[in-house]
Amino acid sequence: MVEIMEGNHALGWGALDAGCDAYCSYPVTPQNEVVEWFAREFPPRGKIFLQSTSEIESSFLCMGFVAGGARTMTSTASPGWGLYPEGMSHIVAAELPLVVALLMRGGPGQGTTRHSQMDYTSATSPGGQGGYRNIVLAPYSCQECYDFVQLAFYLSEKYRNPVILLAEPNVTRVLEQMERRPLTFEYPPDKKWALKGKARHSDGKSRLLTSGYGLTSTEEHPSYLSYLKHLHDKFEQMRASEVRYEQYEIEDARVVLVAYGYTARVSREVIKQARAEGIKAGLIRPLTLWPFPGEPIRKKAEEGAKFLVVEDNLGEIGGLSDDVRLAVAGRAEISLVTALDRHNPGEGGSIYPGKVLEKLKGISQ
Amino acid sequence: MIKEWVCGKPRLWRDRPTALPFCPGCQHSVGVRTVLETIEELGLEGKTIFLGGGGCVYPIPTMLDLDGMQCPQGRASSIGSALKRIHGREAIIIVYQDDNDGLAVGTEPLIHAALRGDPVTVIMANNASYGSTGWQMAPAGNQIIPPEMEKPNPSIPINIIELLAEFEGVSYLARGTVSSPEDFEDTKRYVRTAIQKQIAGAGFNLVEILLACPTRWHLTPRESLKWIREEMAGKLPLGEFKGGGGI
Amino acid sequence: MEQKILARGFEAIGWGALAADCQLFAGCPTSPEDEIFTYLAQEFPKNGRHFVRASSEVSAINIAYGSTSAGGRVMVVVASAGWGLIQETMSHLVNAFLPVVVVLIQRGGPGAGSLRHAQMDYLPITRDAGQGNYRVISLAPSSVQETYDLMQLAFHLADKWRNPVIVATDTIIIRMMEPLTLKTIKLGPPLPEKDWIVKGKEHQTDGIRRFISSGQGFIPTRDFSTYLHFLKGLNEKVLRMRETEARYESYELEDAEIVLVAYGYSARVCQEALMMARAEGIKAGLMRPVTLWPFPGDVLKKKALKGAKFLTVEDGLEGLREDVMLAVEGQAEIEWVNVLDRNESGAGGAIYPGKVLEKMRKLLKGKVKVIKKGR
Repeated sequence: MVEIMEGNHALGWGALDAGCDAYCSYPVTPQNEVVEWFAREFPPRGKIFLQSTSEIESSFLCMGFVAGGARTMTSTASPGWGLYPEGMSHIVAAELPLVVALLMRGGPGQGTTRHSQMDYTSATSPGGQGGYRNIVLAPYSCQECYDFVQLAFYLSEKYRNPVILLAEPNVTRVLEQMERRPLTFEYPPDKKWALKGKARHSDGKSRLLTSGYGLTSTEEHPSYLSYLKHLHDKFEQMRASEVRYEQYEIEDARVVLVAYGYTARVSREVIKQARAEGIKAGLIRPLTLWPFPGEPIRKKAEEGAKFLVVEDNLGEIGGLSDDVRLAVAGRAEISLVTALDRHNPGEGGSIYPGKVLEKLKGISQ
Repeated sequence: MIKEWVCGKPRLWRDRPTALPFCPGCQHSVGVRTVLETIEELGLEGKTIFLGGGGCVYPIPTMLDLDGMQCPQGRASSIGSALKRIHGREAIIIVYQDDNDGLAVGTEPLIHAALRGDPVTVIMANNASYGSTGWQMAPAGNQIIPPEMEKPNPSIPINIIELLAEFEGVSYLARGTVSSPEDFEDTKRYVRTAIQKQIAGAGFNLVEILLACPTRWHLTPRESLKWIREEMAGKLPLGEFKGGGGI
Repeated sequence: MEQKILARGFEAIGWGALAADCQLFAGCPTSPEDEIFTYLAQEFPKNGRHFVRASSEVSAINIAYGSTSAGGRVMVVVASAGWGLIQETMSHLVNAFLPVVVVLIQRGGPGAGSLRHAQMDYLPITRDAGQGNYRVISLAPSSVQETYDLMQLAFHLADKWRNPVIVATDTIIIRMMEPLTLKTIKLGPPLPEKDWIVKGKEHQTDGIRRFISSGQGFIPTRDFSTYLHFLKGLNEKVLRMRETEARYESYELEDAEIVLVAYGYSARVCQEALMMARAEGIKAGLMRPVTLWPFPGDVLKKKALKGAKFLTVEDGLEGLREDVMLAVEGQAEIEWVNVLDRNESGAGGAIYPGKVLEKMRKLLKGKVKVIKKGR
C-alpha cells in the first residue's frame, strides 16, 4: 500500500518493521519529528521509548539496551552528533550493534537549524578514539529512509558494529510516496553475547562485555593484538562486501557527477537538462558512503571522464571530495560544487540545479 | 543464633590475570564481597548482571562468574538503567562504581537514573581517591592533600545520599563501612535491603560503602580504618537514610 | 636565559605551556594523562596560573571555552579515552573563532582500549571529529625538546588563527626522559590584540559590548552577517592555514628511493631503521610530518614523481596511510607498517626497527601488493 509521509516518519516505520525494540534520543532540531514519532508509536506497542538527558547519555543508554540484546536505534542531528563519538567508540570496541540516524544541519558548532551535508567526514572517518569504521548509508528519498533503516539493523547485527544513516532534513521533512513493504534479512541466529543473567543462557555460562580489550583478556580475544586483528578483518570484510551505489546515465558519460542525499536529486535534474543540451553527463550515487564505492569511479576515471562532486559542504576542505580524489588517484580532473555555491546566503540556502548546470557546462568544454 | 564463621573467597569470585590488580590493603574486594554473599544467599546468581565502572574497579566484572560488563568511566548507571528496562524483573542489575567514577563524570547518569526512579542497585564504593591514575583528589576526598596542591574545594566531600534523598524515585539510601566484622554485617544488610527493593520494583536504590585506600592515602591499613571511622564517617555519616527498616 | 635540564615529556608539556604564558589548565585525570595532571597541579599554582580540576573531559573543554573567551591562553589535556567527549565543544570553538590548545596523549583504542601507547587517533585528529566541516592544526612532537618547542608554537598558532590547535603525542614520548633546553622561543609575526574578548562593557576600550557566539550561521555577529559570509570566512581561513602552516623534518630524503613516513614515537623507530637500511645499502629516507594537519604532502608528491616508493609506519589501524595516498595521487607504490606489526601481542607491544627494515626490503624487491583501491 502506498502512503504519503515524511522521511522522518519513514525512519520510524522502517525501524518498527525491522523489529526495533528500543529507541533512545535527545531532542535537537531538526530531528525532533523523529523523536516525536517514536514517543507516539513505540509505547503503545510495548516497545521502549526513552528520552535521555543529553546525547552523551543517549549513546550510553543505547549501549545498555544493546548489551541486553535489544534491537536498538537512536537518532540525532549535527550539534548532538558531536557528543556521540565517545559512546560510539565504546560501542564499536565492545562489538555491539546499533542504528544511528544522523540528520545534518549547518555547522560547525551551533551552526544553523537547516540542512547541510557537512558531517560526511565525521560519519565516515569517525571522531571517537581508535580509528574504527562504521557503515554509513545515505538515503535520498522517503522510500529509501524506510528501506535503508531496515538494512541498517541487519548490517549492524551482522557485523556487531553500529551503522549510521546519514540524511538531510530537506529529504526527511518532505512528504513523498512510500510503500510500506517490510524487507526480510537473514539475521544472525541469536545474540549469544547479550547480558541477561547466566541462568538464562543455554549453556548456563556467564557472559562478559567490555570495551577495553587491551586491559582485559577473554576467551574470544585472548590478547590485544588478536582483538585488533579481528577488528581489522571485520572492517576489511565490510569493505569487500558492503559497497552499494547507483549509477544513472553512466555508460557514455564524459562528465560524472558524484553526489548523495538531496544533492543527488538535484544532480539527476541537472543531468536531464544537460543531456537535453547534448552534454553527456552521468551520476554515480553512493548508497554506502562507507565503504565508499571507489571502483566505479576509478573505472570512469580510466575511461577519461571528468568529475563534478556536488556536496553541500566545504568541499575544498574535505568530505566526499576526498574520497573521490582517493578513488581517482590523480587520473582525472575533479571539480566541485560546494556550500559556497548556495543560492542564498541565509541558513536556508541550498544547491540548486542552475548552479550545478553552470559548472557542468564550464568543465565539459 | 549460631553464626558460622566463613572465610575464603566467595564462590562467585575467580582469580584471573588482569592489567589492574588490587593493591595490598585495598578494600574493594571486601566491598564486592558484601554483594556476592548477598546474591548467593538470595539465590540470584542466575539473574544478576554486574556492571563495573572505570578506574580501580575495572577488573572486577572479569573476576565474577556472573553476566557482567566493564563500563566506560561514569556510565554504568545509564547502562544499568537501560538493561533494567529491557529485562525488567527477569534480571537483577548491580552497578559497582567507585567515587571517582560515579561522583565525577558519572553524576549525570547517576542523578538521572535516580530521577527516573529506575530500580537498579548502585553500590558507590567510596575510597576517596583516584587510585589507578595516581591519586588525584576525588569528589569524596577531603583532608589528605599535600599542602602545595590545589586548595580543597569547600564542598568536598560530596554527600551523594543527601543529594539524592529528596528524589521521589529513590527508594533506599544507606551508607556503611567494612572496617570490622560488625560493620561488614551492617553493610551487607543494607545491600540485601537494596536488592530486595529492586526485586519489589520499588525504585532507585544506592548503598555507599566507605573503603580504605592505604596506597593513595599514604597511611597504613590500620590508620586507614581509623581515618574512615574518625574522619570520613564524621562528614559522611553511617546508617540508613531513606526507606530503612526493611521494605 | 637558557637552562639545560633532564626532563620527561610530560614535564616538557608543562614547561612549554608556562613559557608560552598559558594562564589556565583544565583537565581530569585519565591514564596516561594523569602524570601531567599531577605535575601541573603543582607547577601551575606555583607560577600564579590557574589549575582547574574538571569532573570530566567534556567539563574541561567547556571550562576552556569560557576561559579563552576571557582572553588568557588556555590548555586542556586529554587522553584517547575521553577524546570523544570533547568533540562537540571543539566544533563550537571553531565556529566561535576561539583559541585553545588541546594536548592529546594517544593510548590504545577503541573504547577503553589499553593504558599503553598507540597512534590510533590520526583520522579524528586530522579531520573534523565533531559536527560540521572544519580543520584544526595538529602538531606531533617526537622528542622531549620538540614537545617543549611545539607547545609554544601551538599557543602562538591558536591565537594567530583564532582556532583550536592540537598537540598530538603518545605515552612513549611523554614518559621518555631526555635533555631539554629551556628557552622561550620568539615566534612571529606579532599577534594582534584580542579585541574580541568578553570582560564587561565598561572595560572595553571603545565601550561597545562584545558578543561571542558559536551559532554563527543563524546568528549574525560583528564579523559575519550571514551564514554564507561565515562559511566563506571559515573556508578561507582553513585554506590559508593549509597553504602556510605545513611543517616537516626530512632525514636523508634527497636520494631516497624508499621514503618512510612516520610521526611521534614511530618516527624515532624509523630513524633507527633508516640507519640500519643505509648500512645495508638501501637508499632510504624519512619524512616526518611535524604538522599532521596541514599534511606536508607536496614533498611526497615530488619524491613520487621521481619514482620513490613509500612505507608509512604508524602504530594504528589506518590513518596516516590515507594522507600519503592523497598526497601521492596514484603515482607511487605504498606499503605500510601498522599496529598489527607490533612485536608482541600484549598491550605493551610496539613497532620495532627490525620490522620496518623487513618491510623496506620487501618493498624494494617489489614483493609487495600495490595498494590500488581507495578507502
